[in-house]
Amino acid sequence: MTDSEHYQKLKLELRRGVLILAVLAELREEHYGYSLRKNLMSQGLDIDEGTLYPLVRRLEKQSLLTSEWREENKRKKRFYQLSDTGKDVLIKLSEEWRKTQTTLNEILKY
Amino acid sequence: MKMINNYLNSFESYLPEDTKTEVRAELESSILEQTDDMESELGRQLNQLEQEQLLLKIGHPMRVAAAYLPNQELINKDFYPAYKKSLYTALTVFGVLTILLIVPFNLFKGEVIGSLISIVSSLLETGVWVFASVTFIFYLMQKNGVSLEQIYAWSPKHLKYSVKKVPLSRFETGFEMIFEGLFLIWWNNLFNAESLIIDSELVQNISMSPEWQSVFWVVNVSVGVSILLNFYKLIVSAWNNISIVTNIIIAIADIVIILFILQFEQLIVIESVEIGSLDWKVIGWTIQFNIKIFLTIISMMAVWDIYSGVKKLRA
Repeated sequence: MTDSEHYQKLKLELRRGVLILAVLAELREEHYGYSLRKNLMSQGLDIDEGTLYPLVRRLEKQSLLTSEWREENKRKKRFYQLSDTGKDVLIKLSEEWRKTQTTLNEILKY
Repeated sequence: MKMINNYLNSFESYLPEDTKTEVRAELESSILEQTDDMESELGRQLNQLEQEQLLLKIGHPMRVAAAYLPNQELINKDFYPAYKKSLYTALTVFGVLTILLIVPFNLFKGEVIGSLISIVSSLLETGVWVFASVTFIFYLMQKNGVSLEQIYAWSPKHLKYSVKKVPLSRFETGFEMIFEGLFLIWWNNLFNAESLIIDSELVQNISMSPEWQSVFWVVNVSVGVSILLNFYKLIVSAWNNISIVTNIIIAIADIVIILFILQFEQLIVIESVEIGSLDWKVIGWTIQFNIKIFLTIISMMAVWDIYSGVKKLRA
């Protein structure tokens, strides 16, 4: 495996956990799949459909999200939003993220 | 649009029945929106190549669908260490049992290749059954939600002392095991052969000398133990100090036995010394000489085994 391949693999691993937090945070506002993906991409988080949509479905199964099918612009779309449980989890995860970020920044200084 | 539709049909075919309609609808809506965005940017409809690029970026329908499927591993990573350990233990136990049951029946068949094929196929059959059974048991445990705490129940004070392991090549061990198996079969056939067929008409009675016959079981036990040790090494694929020392002891025993055999004045007995035009003294001497060369090669292999064993112990 080349250095670049190692880097790509590790980058994916590093991003995997962070993606959940980003998706939960973004779904404080209602979104359907494509609009969620576009929003994340516009903020610099590139994520493909094959990763995002199954992730959103898993989070919904875990009762962190609620969803409903609605028609918009003559197209049926599934809209997702953070549930009450999801809101609590997001607060806790955000706090954890900040702690981790502070710790890591300290470690990365050296 | 035909290409997109084909893609979605293929994607749908890999999804579970209960979710396929809505998962397809969600991906379809996403693809069509992307198409709309790209078309409004270009000011025209997407051509075939652009549609193809879009679908290629999403990925193979089977891979995309796989992300929606539950439990895609037969044995998941939490169960895997316990599964691997159980599989190795079961393979060792059943492998040794198979060798103990099958080898004695094949030793006296009188057909080296046939016996070897029979032993190897029995071992393979046992291996497949053990692999399938252990995998199935672990799959059921996983499916029925057996607690991992139960499987990995442990206490630091009950941990056994484990010896340091040195990696070893399975190829070398397998090769050594096959060689020993062939030798064992040859050895037993040799002692059970009552006559040697020289050609279709002339049959000359040849038997082992009483001295040589006296070491029959000693050799069988020594090589048998070595095969079992190699089988264990083949499964574990590592040396520890105990297996290295055992290997050295077996090699020393082999050398002692071979030196003992080489001192015999006569290895074979030919009933009538001269028949027809054949000089049986010369033939007898040639056979004995070849056997001695063969035994010397084996003893040299044993010396090498001792040397590499000592080197491993020192490392």
